[in-house]
Amino acid sequence: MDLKNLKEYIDKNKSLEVAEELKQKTLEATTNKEFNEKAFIIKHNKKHKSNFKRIIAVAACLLLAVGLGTTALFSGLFSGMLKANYYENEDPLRYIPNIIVENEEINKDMIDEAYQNNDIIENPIVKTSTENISTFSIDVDTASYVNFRRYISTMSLSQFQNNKYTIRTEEAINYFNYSYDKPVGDTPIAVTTTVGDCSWNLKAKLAMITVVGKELITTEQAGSNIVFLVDVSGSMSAEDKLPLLKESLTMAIENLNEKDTVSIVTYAGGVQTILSGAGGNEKYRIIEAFNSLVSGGGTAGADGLNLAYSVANDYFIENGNNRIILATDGDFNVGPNSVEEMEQLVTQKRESGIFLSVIGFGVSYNSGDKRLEVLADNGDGGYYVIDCLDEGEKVLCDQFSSTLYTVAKDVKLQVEFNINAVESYRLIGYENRVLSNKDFENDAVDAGDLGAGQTVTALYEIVLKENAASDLFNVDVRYKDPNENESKLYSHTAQISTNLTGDFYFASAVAEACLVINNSKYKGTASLEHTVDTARLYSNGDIYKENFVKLLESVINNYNT
Amino acid sequence: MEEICHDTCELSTLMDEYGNCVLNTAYLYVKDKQLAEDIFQEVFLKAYLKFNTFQARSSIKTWLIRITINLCKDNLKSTYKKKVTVGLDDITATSESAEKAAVEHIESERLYIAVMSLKQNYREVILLRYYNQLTPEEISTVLNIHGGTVRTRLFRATSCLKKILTD
Repeated sequence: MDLKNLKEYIDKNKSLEVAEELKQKTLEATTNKEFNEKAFIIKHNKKHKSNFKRIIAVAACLLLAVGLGTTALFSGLFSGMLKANYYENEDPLRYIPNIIVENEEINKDMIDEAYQNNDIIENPIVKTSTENISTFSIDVDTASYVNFRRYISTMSLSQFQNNKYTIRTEEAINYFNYSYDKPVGDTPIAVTTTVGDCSWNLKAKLAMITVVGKELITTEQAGSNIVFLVDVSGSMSAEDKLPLLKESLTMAIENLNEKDTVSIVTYAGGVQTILSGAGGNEKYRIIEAFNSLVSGGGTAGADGLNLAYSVANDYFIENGNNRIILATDGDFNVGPNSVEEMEQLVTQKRESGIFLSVIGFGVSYNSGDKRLEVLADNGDGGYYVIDCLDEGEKVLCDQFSSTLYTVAKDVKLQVEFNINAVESYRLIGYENRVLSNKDFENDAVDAGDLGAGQTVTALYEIVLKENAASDLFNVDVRYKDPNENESKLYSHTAQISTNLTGDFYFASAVAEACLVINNSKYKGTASLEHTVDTARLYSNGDIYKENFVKLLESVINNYNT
Repeated sequence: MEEICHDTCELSTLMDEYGNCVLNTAYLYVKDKQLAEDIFQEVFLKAYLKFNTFQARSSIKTWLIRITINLCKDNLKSTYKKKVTVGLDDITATSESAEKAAVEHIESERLYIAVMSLKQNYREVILLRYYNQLTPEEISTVLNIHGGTVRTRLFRATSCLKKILTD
């Protein structure tokens, strides 16, 4: 097989020559018919209606952008005109809600309990006069968005809501790629803060805080010791489980090199080491091992984890990336204390420098989802769900380094609002990541971990005081280096930006969609239709963002079916 | 050529230089001569209109291939999900009589058929790499995907090809 001859062969045997007539016709189209973009669109429409719509949409977007830009120029800081103008053009009859500022005490236990019962108690609106400091752990998981996508393809939104299913807003926002300032120098993180209008509540502003992890060149790292712990129990036989798992994990192999080691441990009724310490360059050996996996039997999850940690210990790389990747549907059924055992085990083992990431396949909302999230959380790793090969490619190829390499662990954010400028605030999402303010300084309290090049975004809905100063809030971040146990403080001192980027609008649109999906009591004027319009405007050719738009369009079309 | 294409004279030069590349990239995608020629026209009309937005971050060739592929995908989407298949009867008759040349020809044809039978994700990276002769970085720009993904797809595509050719 010599692909180098492919071009010569195609050129000689399969290619077409551009006829002079074709060139002439193309040239005539530009000269004889007063060719301009409008003419092009009309001509184009005769052949491809869908493209016509798209071009019209782009043209409309451009007009809107020019309109918005002009408005922004004259509106001044926080005048609220930017979105108001957009709304006036969009729908003059939009209902403007009068959101009442509540005084609810943040009670972490209450939230945790509700969370375990499949409810999300949304973060309340907090008056700064009561508490002006808000603390939470970052969350880099993206599983919830993919699970929503899986479920909503089989039911309408009203059925989804009736089943009490929810989407974790922060995971949906963090699923997408954004471009923010990257860390410089030795600091592993960078923070950006932006404030703009809140599209579902004209009385509020939206404060966006993003944390970006430093990029790593994986070949320059000390090496990775990766143990794939694969669930091969009977429940994994479905097409979107073990078969997809094998293909997806195989994709991750290509990014490994000779400094890395790969082991594969399986668990079903019993546990087995299929591959032990293979070099990252022995790709065919690893692929063969994955191909040999077959499903059948019970689910001895805790035994599997024990063996995986023992194998990870055998090949431990000092200062390297030692990680177990658990691939499962989350359905553990052997041993009454199996799940608790697993949680305790991963909590204990992370201290020894072996992290645990979780990749879910065909995860059920009722049994697996929460459990896997907690497991990854305790294991200082991310939780992802893969529902198709493209998603496997995203998690294990596009984001290989952020999925597998941690640049900062136990990352906590503390936001201090200026009581003279901010009347109230509400953290959107992160419900089970809220920390008490005193936990910020307490290094014993676990928090989320930031992967290489990873971006984490948090949004606050804030209501400003009249004549508010521009100094709205400060952000402090505490993090630990991956192999350290003492945290460092990073104070974000840069000015809050009011230059709203496409990323700001897109993240805001995702948050708005989640308010609707979760039927939030804080949703105000939020609508999926408005979300689709905004997200489409700012998708910017990104396939994942475009797919989000398509997904929401199908949700709108199937709303009551 | 890296300058802005102001007039039709420059469009003509652009078509002379990249016409075959654009037409055949489209033809390999849509496997329909008429459609490939329509796409050819659309690509150059678009290039003519948008040349002032062309940023020299990529080469003109990469830029034109990107436009071509996006239009091909739109076309495939807008009509129906077209599965590109080619049979052995596609082999064009050649006058070569030497046995060696004939064997080489059949091997190349088998490889070509195998490439064209790959699913789109894999077929496009193979064609962009070995037909359009783009680097993985350029392919990453054309398809708007991560460089690591390009390498993984190339690896997986060649593994699939090996499997098809040995079966």
